[in-house]
Amino acid sequence: MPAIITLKNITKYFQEDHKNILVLNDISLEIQAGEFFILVGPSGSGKSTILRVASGLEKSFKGQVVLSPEVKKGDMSFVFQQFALLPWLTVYENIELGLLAKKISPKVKHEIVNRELKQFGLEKFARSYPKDLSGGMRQRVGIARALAPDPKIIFMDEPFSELDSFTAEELRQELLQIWIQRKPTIIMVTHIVAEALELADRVAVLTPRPARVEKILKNTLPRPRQMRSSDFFLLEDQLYQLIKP
Amino acid sequence: MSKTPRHRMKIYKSSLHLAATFLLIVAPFLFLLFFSKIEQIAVSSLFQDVFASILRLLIAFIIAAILAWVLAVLFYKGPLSHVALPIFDILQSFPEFAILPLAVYYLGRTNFTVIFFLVLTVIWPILFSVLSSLKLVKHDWEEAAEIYQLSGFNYFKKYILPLSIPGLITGSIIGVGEGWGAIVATEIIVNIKGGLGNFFQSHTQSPMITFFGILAVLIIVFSINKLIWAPLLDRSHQLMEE
Repeated sequence: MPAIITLKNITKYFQEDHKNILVLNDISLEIQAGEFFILVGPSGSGKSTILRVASGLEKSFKGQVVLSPEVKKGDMSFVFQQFALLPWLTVYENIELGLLAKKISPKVKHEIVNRELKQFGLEKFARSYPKDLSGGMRQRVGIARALAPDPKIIFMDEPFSELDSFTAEELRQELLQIWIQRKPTIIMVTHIVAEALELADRVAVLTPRPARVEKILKNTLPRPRQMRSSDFFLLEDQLYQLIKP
Repeated sequence: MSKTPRHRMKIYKSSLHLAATFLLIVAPFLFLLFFSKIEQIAVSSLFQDVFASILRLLIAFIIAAILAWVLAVLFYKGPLSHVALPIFDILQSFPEFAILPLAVYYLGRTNFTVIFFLVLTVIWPILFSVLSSLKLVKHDWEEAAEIYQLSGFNYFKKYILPLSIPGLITGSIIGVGEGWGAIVATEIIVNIKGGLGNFFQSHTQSPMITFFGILAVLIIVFSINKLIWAPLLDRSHQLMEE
């Protein structure tokens, strides 16, 4: 199967106090269509930077990002760690934001937003502003906004790290359901090993700064995954050994 | 058109609020009537002077607000901002009253001259407030606007306009405040017919009239602040709250 997105020899420097600091050191990745791909690594290793390079938000880097021909720029969505909802827009309008650039009729837009509101149990909050919602509900809006345009690739930057563990688990299950139904490609960053193994088809382990790909681990555990099975723990141990602090 | 759900704004919280609003509206009129009675000034000429000045200030404010907003949006980021911002900074300190006599000589004692110089006074606080509210944008919001490819009218309506409104309002409050001071001075220097400048100048011999005149201006300013600016400021802060 051809890759939906390919990163070729991505190298990136940050400028700090007039010094160039290497953050990404020759990163190459190939991600398949429909894959759930996760990047793990110590904090500050440049995981988020890889997502921003791949999604086109970060423009200054060396190397190449190659998209398969059927992916246009508007076919990519992003879920942010701190939700990035616009506080002056209602929940409805925030979800609609993902559709504004699309050439579809207002009626269809309305249907899509309502579909997403229903999917995430947000109907009651359509007219609320983000500040009136709990963290979990806010990130549901963030994910709904990302899904509304029916994207081919969704980037997720530690989407559950700002939530309490119960809410995070609930949202992971919802996300898995949606991923199984709609089959978008998901490229996600996390620093939680169990989360990576619960969700991903493949997990790329990054080294501390400057980030290199240490290893890509295949996760063939059948779904739904038993997080307390010995196979899961074995894989978790394996992954922990690969991650250097 | 699809219906976008919106919060309905509740304007009057209670009958007391309604009464206070009503009082704020009538207070300036009542005071002017009282003033004209006590000092035996013709009611019509007093009202005309006040409204002439308010009208000039209003026109100058509208022009300044639009200009400031457009300049701020054009130059708050991008390569040109490094050139534009220092220029704004210098122009802000430009002593515009120094060229006022020259302008009167060439442009005459006209409304145009007065409004032009008012714009020069009112524009800076608005410009710098809008600039600062645009520069304080969260990086996350910029990225969200970029990834969902907001452009054209949607970019304006859903992004830049709401973002700049708190700065626009704070800047307007400061700008119009300075405008009240500037309008009296400008009208006196230009020596234009009608307006508060003319009013104060023609009553130089009476401290009482000058005192009541200043009191009238303060009451009008207070009413406008309470009726217009304070609710707008409140609302804009609510909308930006996270």
